[in-house]
Amino acid sequence: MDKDHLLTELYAISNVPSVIWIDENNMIARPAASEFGTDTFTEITGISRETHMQQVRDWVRKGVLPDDASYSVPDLSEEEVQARLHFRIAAHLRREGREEEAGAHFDRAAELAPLDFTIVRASMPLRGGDPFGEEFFELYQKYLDAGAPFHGIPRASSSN
Amino acid sequence: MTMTNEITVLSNNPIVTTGSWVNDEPYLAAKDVKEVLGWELKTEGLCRGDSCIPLGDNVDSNASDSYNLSQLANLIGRPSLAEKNLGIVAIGQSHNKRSDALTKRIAPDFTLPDISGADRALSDWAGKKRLLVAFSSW
Repeated sequence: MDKDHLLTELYAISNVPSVIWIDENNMIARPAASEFGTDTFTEITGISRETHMQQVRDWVRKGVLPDDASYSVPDLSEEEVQARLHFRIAAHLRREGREEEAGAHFDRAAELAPLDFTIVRASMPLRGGDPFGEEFFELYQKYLDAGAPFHGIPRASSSN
Repeated sequence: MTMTNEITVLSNNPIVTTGSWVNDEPYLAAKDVKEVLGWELKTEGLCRGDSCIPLGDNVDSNASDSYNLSQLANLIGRPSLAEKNLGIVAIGQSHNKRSDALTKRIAPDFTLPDISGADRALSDWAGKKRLLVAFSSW
């Protein structure tokens, strides 16, 4: 349970689900990629679970890594780092029942990282919104229009 | 005279401590720094284990033996956001750890509670292949 989103900072995660492969030597064998445990959202994302699961089997059984495992994930920008700090303050204030003050920091976080799902979408249910509602689909369209930027292996890479 | 205030520091876990604000910057007593940052102020500098980072001119202090918390965090590569009107300082994760993860592929360890509240660390499964899956319950 990562209520303050520590992993989004430690591993530069900006969308969920994100999956990172870590080997026996504590090295990241494959960096963050959007992967799913089911095909519930395949119609929207175009991502099949089975492709990833077969890659995992090949890695575990044969030590084979997909070509995209060498992809270098870019670091967070200063704005994205600050957005995470605003999100943390907002989440803390919300837990204390200080909704108005929390809202100001959720807003600031979204201004700093407007296409970061761990910021913008994650704040929707915390502010009474619907993470599957109109607000989300507006965000998703903006994200697609911007070329689907996130800190992870692009879906256009060779594994797909 | 410096007024002391309650300051909530959002680090890995929230910590409520006493400190002061000087020019909108948070200051903590030297004795309280270790609890907040995990690093201890000594004559050599900011220390953890055998490692010490000299403060040099990078960290301001005052006559009350209090030190600028944001500058101390920055010294160990941790970003911060101080909100005086809220009495809150958020301290982010180490940039160096993230950089090592992204460029050297070293997986940073972390500890988080599981759904029953028990702490679980990545290192609990050291020596095994692991899938770190970040998802949301929405």
